[in-house]
Amino acid sequence: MFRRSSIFLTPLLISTLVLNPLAAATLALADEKAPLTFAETVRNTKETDSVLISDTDLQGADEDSPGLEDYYPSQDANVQAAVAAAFAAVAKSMEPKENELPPEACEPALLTRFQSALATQGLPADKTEIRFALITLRQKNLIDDVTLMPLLAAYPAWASIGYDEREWTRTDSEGRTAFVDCPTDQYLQLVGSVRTEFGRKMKRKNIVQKINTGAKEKNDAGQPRYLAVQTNWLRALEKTSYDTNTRFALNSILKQVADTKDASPRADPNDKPTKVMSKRKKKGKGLSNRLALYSMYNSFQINMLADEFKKFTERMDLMSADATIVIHYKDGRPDETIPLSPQEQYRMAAKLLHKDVEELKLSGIFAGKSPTFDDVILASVETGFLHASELDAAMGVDDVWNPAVSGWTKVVTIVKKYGGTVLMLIPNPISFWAGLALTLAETVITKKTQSAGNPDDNGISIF
Amino acid sequence: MKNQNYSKILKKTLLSALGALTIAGLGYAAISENYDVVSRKKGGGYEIASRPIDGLLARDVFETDHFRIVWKKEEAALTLDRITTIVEEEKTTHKDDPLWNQDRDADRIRLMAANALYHAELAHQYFAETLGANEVKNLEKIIIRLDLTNKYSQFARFANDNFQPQFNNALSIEGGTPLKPSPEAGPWQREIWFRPEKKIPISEILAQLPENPANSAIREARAELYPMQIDTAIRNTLYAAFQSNLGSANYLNDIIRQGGTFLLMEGAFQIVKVVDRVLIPQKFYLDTVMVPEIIYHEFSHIAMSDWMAPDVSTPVNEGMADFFAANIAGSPKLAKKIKDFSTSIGKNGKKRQFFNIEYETLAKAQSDFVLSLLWGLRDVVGEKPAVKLVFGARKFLTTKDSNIRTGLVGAIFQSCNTACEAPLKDRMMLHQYFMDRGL
Repeated sequence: MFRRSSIFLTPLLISTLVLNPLAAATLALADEKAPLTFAETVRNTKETDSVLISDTDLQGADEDSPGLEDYYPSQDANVQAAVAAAFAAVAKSMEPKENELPPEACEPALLTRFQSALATQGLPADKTEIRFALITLRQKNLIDDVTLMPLLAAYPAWASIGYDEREWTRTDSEGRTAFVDCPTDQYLQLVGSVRTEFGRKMKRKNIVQKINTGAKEKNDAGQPRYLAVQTNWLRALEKTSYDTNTRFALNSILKQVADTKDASPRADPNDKPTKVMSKRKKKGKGLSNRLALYSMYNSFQINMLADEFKKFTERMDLMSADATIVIHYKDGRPDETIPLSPQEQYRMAAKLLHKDVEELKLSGIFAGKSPTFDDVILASVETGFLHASELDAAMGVDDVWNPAVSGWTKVVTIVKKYGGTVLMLIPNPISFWAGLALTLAETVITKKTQSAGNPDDNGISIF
Repeated sequence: MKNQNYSKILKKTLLSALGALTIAGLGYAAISENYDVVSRKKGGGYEIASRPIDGLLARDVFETDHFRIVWKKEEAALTLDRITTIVEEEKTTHKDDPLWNQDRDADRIRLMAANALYHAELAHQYFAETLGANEVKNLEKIIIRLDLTNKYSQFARFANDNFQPQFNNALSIEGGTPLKPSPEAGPWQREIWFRPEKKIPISEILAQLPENPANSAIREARAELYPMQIDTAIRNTLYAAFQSNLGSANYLNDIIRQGGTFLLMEGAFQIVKVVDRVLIPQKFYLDTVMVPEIIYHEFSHIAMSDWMAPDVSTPVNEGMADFFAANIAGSPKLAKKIKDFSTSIGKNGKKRQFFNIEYETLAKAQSDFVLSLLWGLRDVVGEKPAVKLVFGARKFLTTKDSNIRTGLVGAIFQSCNTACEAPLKDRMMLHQYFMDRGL
C-alpha cells in the first residue's frame, strides 16, 4: 500500500534485478540505451491522429460556452509556448532525484501539478479548463493517446473532488516519507477483483459494495485501512466510470511504454508517426491499434512479438543467412544438402513467422491470448524495429499464407460457380451465345487477374 | 648573354607551341557535325532527323573518343570518302547477288554509320553520366563494325568468310588474342558487330519452327471455348432427360444447333490460320544498326562486360541488356514500330508474364520475360535506383552460370545492399514483387 523511497531498498532492488533473468535483460538494454525521460515516454511519436479527441471535445459544454480555441488559441504562439512550458515543468517534476525512485505518474497528481504550472504561466487554469489544456498537449504531440486516455478518464473525478498531494503523503517520526498508492491503480485492481468474482454478471453496485467493504476487509486481513481520501477517490472514480473509459492506470502503462517504445536498437527517434498505429482497431471497442496493443499485451510480450519479426528479417536476409535443407539418410549415405533459392528462403522465413506466431498461443507467456500477424507488425513499429516507411512492405509479408483476393477474382469465382447453372435455364439459341460471352468474359477476367498462384503448383519451388 | 637570349627564344617558342596545341585541342574537341539518324518520336514511331554528333575526332570521320565506326573487317574509321568507294565496290561485288539491298547507296551507309555512332554515344553517356559508372568512363575505344557477316571466332576474331554468314542480327564480342598471332591478326578488344539485313521469306522461318505459332493460339482458343460448350450440351441433355424431353423437337434443335456451331467455329479457326498466313509480313528482315534500341542493347553488353562477358546469349544477360536499352530509350518497348528496318515483333517490357521454368532455357534468351521482370523493378524501388540495382547486380553474376531464379534474383538482393535507399523495406518489397511474378 505504501511505496517507500528509502535508500535501503536499493540493494534489494539490485539483487532482484540480477537474479531475475528478464529484469537482467532489461538492465542489459539499459546499458546500451539511456532510459527514456518522462517527457520522452509520454511524447507522441507513433500516432498520426488521436482516437480520443473528436470535434465536440474542442467545444464548450453548450454553444455559448467557450471552447478550446477561446482558452488556448492554436494560432497564439505565446499561449502555445506557455502551455508547452507548463508541461515541461510538470515533466521535470517527474524525473527521479538522485538516489530516489522516479515519482509515481498518478493521474490526479499530474492534473494538479499541471493546473498549478498553467497558473504559473498565467494561462487559464480553472478545473473546467484543464481538459482543454490536456487536449492541447495532445495536439502538440507532447503527450500521446496512451497518456491522454487515463488522464481524460480521471479528469471528471479530479474535477469533482480535487487532489491535494499533501493528503497522499505521510512522514513518520524518523523523517521517512511514504506515498499512498495512486487511486486509479487501486481502483482498477479493485474492479479486477470484483470482475473475477462476478464475471460477466458484474454490476456497478458490486464495485460500490467492494469499495464500502474494502476498509473492513483490509482491517480483517491486518492490512492498513483506506484513508478517507482514498475512499473518496475510489467512489469518485466509480461514479465517473473510470473503468469503462479506460483499462489503463497511467503509472503502470507508462512503465510498459518505457520498456517498449523504441526499445529496438534499430529505432529511429526521428521516425514519423504512422496512421496504422492510430487507426481504430476492428472490434477493438473504439481503441486505436496502439491503445489496443497496450491493453492486450505487457511490455515483455510486445517485445517478444517484435522479436518475431526481427527473426523473420534475419532469416530472409541473404546477406545474413543462407538457407538449405539437409536430408539425412539413415542408411549411411552422405547427407543431401539442397540450397534454397532467394525466393524460397523468403517464403520459408514468412511461413516460419506465421508458424511461430501461431505457436505463441501455446506459450504460457501468452496464455489466453491470440497474437496475430497484425500484432507482430504493431509491436515492431512500437519498439521501433520497423520504421514508418517500412510498414507497407512489412504488411505484405502475410501474402505468403494469406494472399489478397482481388474483386475481379471474386467475380470470376461467382461466374464459374453459378454461370453454368444459369445458362441451363436460358433457352437456345440465346443460351449458346450467352455461354460464349460468358466463356470469353471469364477468359478475359482470368487473364486480367492472373497471378503467380501457389508457388508449389509448378513443382519447381520447395516453399 | 647569348644563353639568356636563347632561353628567351626557347620560352617563347614553347609558349607558342603550347598555345597552338591548346587551340588545336579546343578545335579538336569541338568538332560537331549534324547527320541524319533514326530518331524515336514521342508516340513510339520513328523519323529520320538531323542530329548533332559531338566529339568527332575529325571532319567527315565517324570516330569519337569512345567509338570508331568501321566497315566490315577494316580497322580504319569510316569516312565520307570511304563510303563513296564502298558503294562503288559493293555495286561490283554484289552485282549478281539477289541479297544485295539496292537501296544501300552512299546516303544509306552514311545513315547507318551516323546512326550507330549517335546512339552508341547516347548509350555511353547514359552509363557514364546518368548512371555515373566509372567502369564505362574508363572503357577503351570500342570498334563498331557495320555490315559484317563473319561469325565470331574466339581463336581468330573473324571466322572464315564462307562459314555460316550472319544476317539480321548484332552482337558484342569480348577482347581476345588470336591462336596464331600474325602481323595481320593481332589481339583485339571489345567490339560491337552489326550484320547486314537480309530479307528471308517467312515460309523458310516457319518451316524451321517446331510449330506454326498460329496453331498454338488456336489450340488455346479451343481449350477455352469447347469445354464450356460441351458442358452446356451435357447439362441440356441431362435436363431434357430429367424432363423426359429427349425426343422433343426443341431438344433435337438445340443439339443440332450446337453441333453446327462447333463445326462453324472449327471452320473459322481454319480460316484464321490461312488469313494469318496472308496477313503476317511475307519476308523477315532486321537491319540492326538502324534500330536505336538494338544499339543501346549491344552497348549495354559492353558496359556489363567487366563482370559478364558477352560470350553467350542467356536469358539473364540478354534480359539485362534489354533492360538498359529500354531505360536509355525511355520506353519498355524495344524495336517496335520501325517497319522500314525490321519486321520482327520486338519486345515489350510492360507485358505481364509469370515465371515459367522454360524461361531459364537458352532457347528463351531472346524472350522478354527478364526485361519485363526488371522493368517492373522501377515501380518497386524507383526508376533510378532500379537501374543502379540492376547494374550493380552484374558484379554477382556470371554469363554462363547464372539463371533467373537463383542467380539474377540473388544478385539483385546482393546489389540492394549498396544500391537500395531503404534496404530492409526494399528487400521486402522486392521479395513480394518477385513472388507476384511467379518466382
